[in-house]
Amino acid sequence: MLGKLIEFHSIGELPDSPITQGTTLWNPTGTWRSVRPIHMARLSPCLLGCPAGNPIETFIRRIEEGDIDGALAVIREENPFPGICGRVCFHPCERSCNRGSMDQPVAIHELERWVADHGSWRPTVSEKDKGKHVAIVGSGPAGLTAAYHLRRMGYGVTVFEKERELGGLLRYGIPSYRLPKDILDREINILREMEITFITGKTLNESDLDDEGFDAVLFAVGAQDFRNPRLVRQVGEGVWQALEFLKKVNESGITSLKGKVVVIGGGNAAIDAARCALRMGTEVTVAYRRMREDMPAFDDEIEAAVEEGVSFTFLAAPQVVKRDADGKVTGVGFTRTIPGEIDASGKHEVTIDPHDTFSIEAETVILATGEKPADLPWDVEPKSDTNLCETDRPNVFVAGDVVGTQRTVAYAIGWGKRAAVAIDSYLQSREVDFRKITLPGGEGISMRAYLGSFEIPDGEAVPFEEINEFYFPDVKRTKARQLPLKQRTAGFAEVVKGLSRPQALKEASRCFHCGDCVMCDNCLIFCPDVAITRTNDKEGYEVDLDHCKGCGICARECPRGAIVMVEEKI
Amino acid sequence: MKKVLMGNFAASHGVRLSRAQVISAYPITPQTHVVEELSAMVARGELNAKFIKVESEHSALACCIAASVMGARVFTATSSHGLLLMHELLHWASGGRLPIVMVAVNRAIAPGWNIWNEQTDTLSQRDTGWIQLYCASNQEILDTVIQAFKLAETVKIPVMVIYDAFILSHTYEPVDIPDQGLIDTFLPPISNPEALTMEKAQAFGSVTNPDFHMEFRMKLHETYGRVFEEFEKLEEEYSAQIGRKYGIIEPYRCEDADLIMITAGSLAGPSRMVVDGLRKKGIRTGRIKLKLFRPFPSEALREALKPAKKILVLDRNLSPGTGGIFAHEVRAALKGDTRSIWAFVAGLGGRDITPDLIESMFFDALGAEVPISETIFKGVRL
Repeated sequence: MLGKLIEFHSIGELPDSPITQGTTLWNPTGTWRSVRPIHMARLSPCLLGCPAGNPIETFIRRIEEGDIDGALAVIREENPFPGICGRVCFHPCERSCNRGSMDQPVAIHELERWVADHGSWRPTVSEKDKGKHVAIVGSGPAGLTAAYHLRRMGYGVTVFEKERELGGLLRYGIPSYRLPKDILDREINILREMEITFITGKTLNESDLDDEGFDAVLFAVGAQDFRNPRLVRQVGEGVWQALEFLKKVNESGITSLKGKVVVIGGGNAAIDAARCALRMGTEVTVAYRRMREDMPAFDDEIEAAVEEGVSFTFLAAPQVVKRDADGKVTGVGFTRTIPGEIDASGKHEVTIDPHDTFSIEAETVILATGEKPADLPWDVEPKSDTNLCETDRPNVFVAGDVVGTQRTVAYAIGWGKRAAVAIDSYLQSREVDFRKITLPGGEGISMRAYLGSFEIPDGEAVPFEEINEFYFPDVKRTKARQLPLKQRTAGFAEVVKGLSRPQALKEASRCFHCGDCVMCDNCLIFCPDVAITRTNDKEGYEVDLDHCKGCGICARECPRGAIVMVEEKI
Repeated sequence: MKKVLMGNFAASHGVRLSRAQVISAYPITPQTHVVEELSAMVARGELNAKFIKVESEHSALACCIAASVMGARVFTATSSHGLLLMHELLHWASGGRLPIVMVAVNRAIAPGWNIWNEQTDTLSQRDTGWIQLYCASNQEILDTVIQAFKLAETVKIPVMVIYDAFILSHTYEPVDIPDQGLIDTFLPPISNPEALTMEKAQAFGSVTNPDFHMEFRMKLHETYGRVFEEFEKLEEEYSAQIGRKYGIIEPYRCEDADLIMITAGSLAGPSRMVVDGLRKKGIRTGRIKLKLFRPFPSEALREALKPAKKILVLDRNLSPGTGGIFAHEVRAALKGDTRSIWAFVAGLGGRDITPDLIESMFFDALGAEVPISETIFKGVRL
């Protein structure tokens, strides 16, 4: 209201200029408004970029708050294996990071790894026993992830692994200089602590299903079959199939190789095999039939291989493994290929020029021309929409590389989550709408959304244009320390050393926190009408709509696009 | 102490002697030296002031306004486009009754891009409520800056101290720098009991509805009436201590003059020379230098112009379609007067106004009873 009424009797009594010691609350400027600001939790692009549905922005915020366990808890609500992902994931999240449009993306994978290596949070298991038991065949990332989430929901879980040890591709496919075995064991041990039963050296027979009392079965058996039938005939003395080779190396079954090695292929298995062979003191050439840009292997891995001294030959199509009279491998015969247009897969089509042939000397040849899933056991048929993880039998489910085409750890974890959701909804006889728990435009699903502790915001991720760069000073992306080159190739010690605490905090501070209010008070400071205040619980803001004119300054000055101006409905 | 100083440095010394507490400015030719030297003085510890760097003239004056509301003695300086960018805030300062002092160096306005002397920049700000004082020498600049603070703080109206680009700003002249002790006596520390303090919450420039806005404007207008006597009073005081006095107008040999020329700024010098020369030829001429332009000294002018048969006005500025701005103001002041007024516009955009050109204006007025046109452009090439 107007307050005390002052009467002036002459111009002289009037102050020199309009001064008030009252407020402007009497003037409800809110009536001028046609748009109103709304503080919104919006999607950040990193979250959508993660096939495993990692709540990246949230865990980085916990790091900034100094709450490492909180950060670890947030990740493990979705993804049981941050120590593994932080090391081996190809981090597509960083490609979608808005900071990349300003300088370089936040080093998300390094932060995830740092949280996993320094946090101590342990997952809890639902106190309410669901009274049902699930069998999971295969202990790779998909199978273990499904086991983890089902166990957390309160199911009994038994994992069957045909090999001697757990981990599948994580143990037998990925070399220890990328993923040390003790890190793998550390993360698997967390599942042991949750009382998941593990049976190794054994698979589950169809006949045992009822006897064992399993209510559902998940096949997450991976993809290990060799894909190139013409070359597979040449496997033998001196010629390896890449996954077999890596498995042997990982089991420490081979410790030395001789002479020159040719690796054929351009995927991650090829690079892994090449870098392993290099570590055994050989000279290694990777031969790929397309161009450098077409290689499916992760760029970081290719660059590391080049640094370490692996040679590359492109546009080389393998024709024959050459052997001498004694059957000893002497090299590989290639024909040159000619690159053409880019095909549907985004790679250059190549045509073989049969007249242009050449050889590369080698004592050992490793064939890394890709793998494919084996046929599913029990003559099970997946349903046509494989994303639902269902098969032609109601109690049998599939997940991971055995049905997926994107064969990476992050995708496998995503599969494991979907399988857990599918099995839970089957066992609880409940319909599940995957659209409601799938991150929009993204690949991953949100387990927290499925369990009801998180609501996926509507709309698209905050685009870079809505980030107010002014508030983000230049800070270069932190590069983790690496083992010196000489020490790297001398053995299988981990190459990347991880961040120090100051490095991690500095890197975390580079995060824009796209679309998520961090209570920076910018809106409150800039509001010309003093119409924004902190809520009583100090966990958010309130807009005084009696006085907010809808000028939009708060939204403009919000560093991270967490305020949206919405038109008033008339 | 006498020093050879360019006009810009004379202004800096005036600000230093006035013990300004907050200075905020943005550099623009030909004003730059003024604040460059002041920032150096602050850095060297010769002036205990807060020097605020900003990204535009608009922000410079905004800073000055805030500091002045807090009760500080505040200074800024600008020129030409910088002054035009301040336009909105000029009103805020005068309407807020804030005793800010500004140096404005007269420079032409684009297009075409021109850094040289012309008075249109300050004259086009005549309705912003600022007092305007035009200077004719470097000594006058120094003295006027000091006087401006006293005047501004007495009537609570901001003051522009104005002088010509290059002709004064960049030209060296001997300048007497008064003792600090004398200036401290003349200009005691600023006091404003209504200033904003951390203890007393107040809002300034708040919404004023139709029921009072007009009264505030009336009050500002009426206070303007006091400027003549307050200025004369402080000039008496200043001359008693320092020994120099300029007057709101300076008539020269007008007592028996048939032709009197009115002009302002550095043109006061050459026009006086021309008057002396014509007197030698037996032509009775005089000239009036205008120092105070806002408020306009109509009464003093009417008095000084009494002997004249014809009145000449020399404008180094132009209000397109109207003519010279001083001439326009003189005509308004002489409303009802039947004497012919010869309104000359010359020297725009820094073109030289030579004594010969000024002399030819007197002969123009001698050679006809009435001017050939309302505005006469002189020294035009085409």
